[in-house]
Order: sequence, then C-alpha cells, then structure tokens
Amino acid sequence: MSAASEHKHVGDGWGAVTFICLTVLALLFLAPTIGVLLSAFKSTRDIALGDLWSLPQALYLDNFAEIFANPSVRIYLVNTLLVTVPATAASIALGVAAGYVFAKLPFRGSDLIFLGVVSGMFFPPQIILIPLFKLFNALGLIDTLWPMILIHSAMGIPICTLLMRNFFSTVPNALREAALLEGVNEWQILTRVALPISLPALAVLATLQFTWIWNDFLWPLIFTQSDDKRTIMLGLVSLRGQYSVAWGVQGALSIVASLPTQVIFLFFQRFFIRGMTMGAVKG
Amino acid sequence: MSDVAIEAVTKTFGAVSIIKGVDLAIPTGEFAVFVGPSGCGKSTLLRMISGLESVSSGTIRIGDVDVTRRPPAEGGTAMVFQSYALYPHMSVSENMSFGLRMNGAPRAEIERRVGEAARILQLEQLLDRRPKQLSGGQRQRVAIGRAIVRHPKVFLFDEPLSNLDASLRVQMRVEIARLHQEIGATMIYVTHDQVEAMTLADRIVVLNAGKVEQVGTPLDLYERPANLFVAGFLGQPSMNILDACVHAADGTQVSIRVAHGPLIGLELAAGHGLAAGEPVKLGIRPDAIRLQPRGRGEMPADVEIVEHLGDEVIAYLRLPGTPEAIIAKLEKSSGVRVGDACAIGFAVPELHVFGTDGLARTRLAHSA
Amino acid sequence: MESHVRFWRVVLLAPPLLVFGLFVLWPLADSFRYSVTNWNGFSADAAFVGLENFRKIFTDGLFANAIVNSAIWMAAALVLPTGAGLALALLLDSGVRGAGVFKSIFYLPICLSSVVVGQIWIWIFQPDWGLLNTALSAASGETFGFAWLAKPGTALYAVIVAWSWQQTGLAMVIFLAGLTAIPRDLLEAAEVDGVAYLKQISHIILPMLRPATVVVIALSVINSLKGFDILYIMTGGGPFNSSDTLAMFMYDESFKKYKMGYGSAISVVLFVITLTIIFVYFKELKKMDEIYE
Ligand SMILES: Nc1ncnc2c1ncn2[C@@H]1O[C@H](COP(=O)(O)OP(=O)(O)O)[C@@H](O)[C@H]1O
Ligand SMILES: [Mg+2]
Repeated sequence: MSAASEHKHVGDGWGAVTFICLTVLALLFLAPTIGVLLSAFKSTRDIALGDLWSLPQALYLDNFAEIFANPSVRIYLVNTLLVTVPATAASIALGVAAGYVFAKLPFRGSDLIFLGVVSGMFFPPQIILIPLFKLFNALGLIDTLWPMILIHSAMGIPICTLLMRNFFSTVPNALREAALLEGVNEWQILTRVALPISLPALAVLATLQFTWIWNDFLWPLIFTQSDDKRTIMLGLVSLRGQYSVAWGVQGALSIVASLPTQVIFLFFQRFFIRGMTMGAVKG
Repeated sequence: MSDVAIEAVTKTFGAVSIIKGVDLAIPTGEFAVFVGPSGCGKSTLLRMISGLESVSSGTIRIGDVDVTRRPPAEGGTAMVFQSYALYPHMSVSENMSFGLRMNGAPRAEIERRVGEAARILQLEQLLDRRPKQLSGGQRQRVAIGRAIVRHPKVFLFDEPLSNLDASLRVQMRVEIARLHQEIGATMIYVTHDQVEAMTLADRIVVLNAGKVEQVGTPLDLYERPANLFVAGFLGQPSMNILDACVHAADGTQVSIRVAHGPLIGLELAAGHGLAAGEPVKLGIRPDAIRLQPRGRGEMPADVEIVEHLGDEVIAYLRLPGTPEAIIAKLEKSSGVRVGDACAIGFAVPELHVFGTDGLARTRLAHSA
Repeated sequence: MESHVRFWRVVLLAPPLLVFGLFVLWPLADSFRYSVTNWNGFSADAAFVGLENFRKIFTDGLFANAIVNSAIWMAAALVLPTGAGLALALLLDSGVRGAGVFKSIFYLPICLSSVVVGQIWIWIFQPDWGLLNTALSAASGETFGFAWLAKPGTALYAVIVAWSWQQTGLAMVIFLAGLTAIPRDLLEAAEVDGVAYLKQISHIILPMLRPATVVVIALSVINSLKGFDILYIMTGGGPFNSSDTLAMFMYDESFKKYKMGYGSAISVVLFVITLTIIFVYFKELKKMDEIYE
C-alpha cells in the first residue's frame, strides 16, 4: 500500500497491538453512527426505556413507514434531486471547460485567472450572502429552487476547474496535436479525446459535487420559505419539531437523507479518495 | 516541382531564437531526414511545417500552397509522434479512423482506407485491440497507419523509433523504408540518430543550432562534408581531426604538414584561399587509416585499446609523446593487439582539409 | 492556428467565468458596497453611512465574542482533527491488516452532512439518555444529567468535538497520501541503520510529511472559518451567543435582525481575514514547491 507497509512492525508483535488499537478506535468512531442506525429500527418506547444499544429483536420498520407516509419527505427528496442533479452537471461542465483551457490552451495571464478562480474555493459563503439575497429577490426567484441551482453551479466552479485542470495536465499534449493534425476541432478533442480519458476525474467530481450540494444547508435556509420548496437537509431540521420525541423516526430520517450520498460514495470510493487528495495536495 | 518549400523561416520563443533562417526545398516523393544534435531545433522545424507551431518569419509552401499561417489540418501533412500519441480509449481501427469520422467521411470510404492501411502495415489481426494491448512496435505501426489513412501529401516523423529497443528499431526502420517505396509520398523524418539518417534518407539535412549545416545525399555528406560539424557528426566512430599547417601553396597545389606527422601534397580547387603558414585541420575517417609496421608509415603510433566488433576492429591509437589520439577502424584480419608499436598510413585521396573558418576545401578529383 | 485557439479559449472560458463572475465575484464587490450603507434588506433605499458600520463592529461586544469563539474554534480545528488524523494515518500505514476497512470507517463521517452529524451529536449530548451521560453514569455510578449543549461553558466545545469527529477522516486521508509519497528506500536505508521506529517517525516521516501537513492545516483553518451549518443545528450560536462564530454572527445580524448593511460590513471583515490566510497558504505552498522540486 505505501512506503512503510509490509516490512515495518512485521513479526515483532506490534502488528497485533496496532490492529487492536485501530479496532477500538474504529468502534468508538462508529458508535454515533451505529446509535443512529439502531435507533431507526426501534420504537420510541424502547429507546426511552434505555434499550438503544441492544440489537433489535425483530425487524422494526415502522419508523421508515412513518416517514415515507409523510408527503413532505417525498417533496423534500424530489426538491433536493431537482437541485443536486442539474447543479452537479452544470458545475462539472463549467469546470471541464475552464480546466481544459487552463491546461491545454494557456495564454498570458491564464495562470493568474486560474489562481483567482480556484481561491474562490476557500471563502466562506457568508461573504456573498447578502448581495445574492438581493439579486434573487430582484429576480423574483426567492422561494424557488433556482437560487440553489445557480449558486451551486457557480460555487462548484473552483473545485471542478482545479481538478479538471490538474487531470487534463496529465493528458499528453501529443494527443491533442495528433487530433489537430487530423482536422479534429478543439470541441471534438475535448469531448471525444480528453473527456473519455478523464472518466476517473469526472467520477470524483460527480461524487464530490453531488455530496456537497445534497448536504447543503445554508442556501436553502436563506432562499426557501414555504414547505414545498425545502430540500431534505432543511426538511430534516423542520421535521425535528414534528417528531421531537420520536427519536427513532428522526434516526430513520437521517438515514434516508444520507443514503443517496453514501451510495454514490461507496460506488466511487476508490476514485474519490485518490482524486480528492490529488486535488488537495497538488494545490 | 518541390513539394515542400521552406523560405527564410525563423522561430523565436520569447527572446530566444531557435530557428535562425532556414531555406530548404524538398521535391515530391523524396525521403528527407533532418538530423542534428538534441535541442538543435529539428522538432521545432518539423512542427512548423505541420502547422502545430507558428512561424515567426518566412514562408512555408506545400505543393505550391502557402501554408505558413494555415491551421495544422489544412496543410495536408500527417505526423507520427515519438510517443505514438495513440488515443488510449479507442481500438486500433478507431484510432486510425478518428480523424475521418470527425470530419464526416462516408463510412465505406473510412473502411476502405483503414483496411488499406492495415494491409500495408500488417495490422489486420489487431484492429480491435486497445493501444495498451500492443507492443511498442505495433503501437508505432498504428501511429503510422493513422497517418496513412489521411492520404497526406507529406508524412512527418518526429523521432518515431527512439522509444523502441535496438533490434526493433532496425526492423521498423526497414518497414518505414519499405513504406516509402510502396506509397511514394514525400516524407520528412527527424532523428538524432545518424544511422537512421544514413540508411533511410534520399537526402539528409544536417541541422545545428537552428541552422542548416549541409544538405545532400547520405554518400555526399559522408564523402564530402562541407564543414567540420558535418564531418564530425556523421560517421561512426567519428572522423579524426588532426591539427596541421600549410607548408606551401602554389595555385591549386598545396602541401600540408601534419603536426607530429608527414608532409602531404594535395590539389585543392581554386579559391581555397590558403597561404603558407596558415593552420588547417585535416580530417580522416577511421576506416581510411592503414596500420603499418613501425618505420614504414608516415606517423608512429601505439595501440592503446582494441575493441572487437565481430567483423571489424576499432583501435585507439596514440602518437608517442603527444596527447593526440586517433581512432582506426580495421579489418578483423588485421591482427592488431594492445601495445603494438606501429605506424599510421594515410590514404591521401580520403583526406579532408578544413580551413580555420571550419569550411571544407574541395579536393580535385585527380589529386594524389 | 492562433486564431482558432483564441476562438476556443473564448468559447470555453466565457461561460464559467461569466457564471463565476455573476454569482461570486460581483456579489463580492457588492458586499463592499452594502457595507457602507444601513440597508435593512427590504426597503428600496439605503443611506450611505460611510465607515460607521466598521466603527460599530470594532466596538461591538458580540463581534469580539465571535472573534474569540472563531479563534478557539480554529485552534481546536487545527489541533484535534490534525493530530487524530496523523495518528490514524501512521497506524494505518504500518501495513496493518484490514487497513482499507479502517480507512473507510474513519472516512465515513466526512460524507455525512453537517445536519446529520449535528443531529447525531445532539443525541450523544442529550442530557437524559444521551450516549455521553449514559456512559458517564455507568462509569461513575451516579446519575449524570448535564446539558452539554445548553450551558454557555460547554456548548462551543461540544460542537467542536462533533466537528472534529467529522473532519478527522479528511486529515487522515491527506496524511496517508503524503506517507505514500515517501520513497520506500529512504525508510529501508534507515532500517538497515537500525533506527528505531519512533525515531524514524520524528526524523524521517514527519519532515517528509511537511507538504501534507501544510495542506491539512490550511484546510482546517479554511473549513473552520466556514463552520456554520453544524453550529446552527446544534446550538444556533447559543446559549447567550456563547458559541457564536463570525459566520454565525454575520447570519444573525443580517437575517435575524435584518441589519444587512452591518452584516455586509461583517462579510467584508470575514473576507479580509480569509484573504490573509489564503495569502499565507499560497506563499507557504510556493516555498514548499521550491524545496521539493
Ligand atoms: N514551446 C517552447 N518554448 C520555449 N522553448 C522551446 C519550446 N519548444 C522548444 N523549445 C526549445 O527549442 C530548442 C529546440 O527544441 P527542439 O526543436 O525540440 O529540438 P530537437 O528536436 O532538435 O531536439 C530547445 O532548446 C528547446 O528547449
Ligand atoms: Mg525533438
């Protein structure tokens, strides 16, 4: 796996100690998550009686039944999808276009523009909260899904540009030149040569952006007012009142709200961790 | 008619001048090789012909069309890259047909051309493979195939064989020569390897530091190098260059004294401009050196190192009491051994004379 | 050739720059504009008040409170996830069995949303049957009923613990990548020399991990400045503003009290702080590149 693996510690008993340490830590680390998982499969009464930590006797699904019977939850999920999918696609498309120019068609000053765009990644969104509120207010888009779609498309540009530019830099220039000589235009080179080679980077970005946008809380908090425009994370908070003592239902809600991103993460995990650190370490 | 005409072409990167005024005419169907040391601008010149690199000044014409400012695809050239530059996500046939497909060529035409290229390069069995599944030589053949399907006016090769190992390189070299015979298109081939240049070229263009040093057939350049650079660059081992001095010059008759060596009389073409007392360089190819028993030849020498190459022997000689070393290429049967004390004999007709300006002085054919 | 390239540069670069400019850069500039007004978020007109908002900021006790909390938050974010992430990375890198599984477990929280993480930790800190008090009761034999999130002395720190739990995985992954980049022969050479493992860590591994460390630290600082969601969920900045950070403070002033002019001024201060940090970050990275080239 890495520089130090295999030959260090081996055969001196340290391996077992390390393993036990990690196992204990991992259990401690997992405990909160396991707690939520267990709660989702228990009745409120069981939890109140202090019986949270035992394995459920029978598969108790009432909590899930409860939330899927709640029409609001369905609306929240659909709204979140309606924001997440287009914004993920748009931010990646924009990042691909910009990253391609910065990697393959650089010009005088392009490095500076690149740096400017990428540094956008580091600023707290609070900095532009008020002007955006004013902007979408003026456009009459408050309490629609549009502000979230547009803002996430824009705020995703720095990370998408950074990753795609770094990835495209590893694609040999000769590939582009060979295609140019064959009369293939720049657009075809991007879509037929550069992008198919960059599928790992695209997978990473899809995961990152999907997770980030799905989990977002701040923008829906600012821009939505009515219940039928809420996204799932906001819905989670607003349902907290309705199910204030129904801890099991809240647990089930948390699981349902996290499931899509977990599925995507597990699916792309290999790419995800590699690409993530690639973007981060290479700055 | 010349297929590729390069006129007063220069190239600067920022403030650095890389190509310093090149004039060149390459006739239709010729196999021209640009050869020169690494970094001398061979690739840059080739890329300017292809249109991948902009031209700082001057004109490039291909088939009488000025392509100086044209986009790469419109010049009618096809290029084979050192790195092959195959699209890793496409099969061999997709690689070869990519350009045609993107430009909307009819399917039947694409299939015909891919089939033709595959036949010429014996790639028929490999058409569905990905580049990753091919050996280096096969990849290079695919890269060439991709050039062939375009039916280009001019093929451009940029060190296409330098990523291959030695035996494969020889094999591919032969294939490229065969290809040129078969399709007869103009080809420009860049290499830093003089063996490739000598074996493949109809004409060699020797480049050095952004300038053309000499243009000519391989034999021309080998037998009549125009200057010290070409003399030293072509031929393996390279030509021995000896310090010498003009002893007397009378019209075309010139006698030259070799440092630590004999007085040699030769006849040079008029206008050689050499005067008595002027220093000159004498060049002699290793294979023009004869070894004789000590006392008989013109210059005494000791054999320091002997390398056996099978059919030939390379002997490193030193003139006694001097730092000068001379390399000789001898027959296997010469029986030379380390420590032999012998003498060097020159074949006078094979001597080359260079002035202090580095330029060769033409020998008159009948001089002895 | 050049003109074609220029054409595609414009075609490809215009949309991203336009979108970025419209929804990020222009609002940023606008923030500066609002920061010198007393706009309330609704009225069409806003009066120019000069630097009044900034003067107020620096005399506002709540701002000072937010700055102190942000600093505490940042320091903790620097120490806890970074230290834990490094320790985990070193343990995982020793070639231990099941490293991949462990890695996934420690990385998992990063993929959870702050809302869900906040929710989970609200339960842990729940006074009556929360995991923490249950464990403490079991350990001490007495009944613990401490309301961690409702007491000014502990609220901020409770949130920091939750935050660290989430962020540790990120630090770990970056450190692991850094460890992978250490040439094997360097460690083998040390091994041959009989250098003990702990010495290897301090003399070879840690110095070689410097680039990764810079990245982790920079990310921790930057992410801590963004810390908002989890605070909003767990404490809302309370009780009595005891867990207010700059981001939280800005939100409260602007969207709870509708002092948008004042809020914009806070944004500007936040911007300047972030810019300073980024500047230091890039300078440090550059130095790093020079060392490791
Ligand atoms: N894009 C470029 N920018 C600056 N210098 C370049 C560029 N391309 C080539 N050079 C320089 O031009 C010189 C000639 O390069 P090249 O034509 O590749 O040499 P060759 O192919 O003969 O080895 C080299 O010194 C190289 O560094
Ligand atoms: Mg070259």
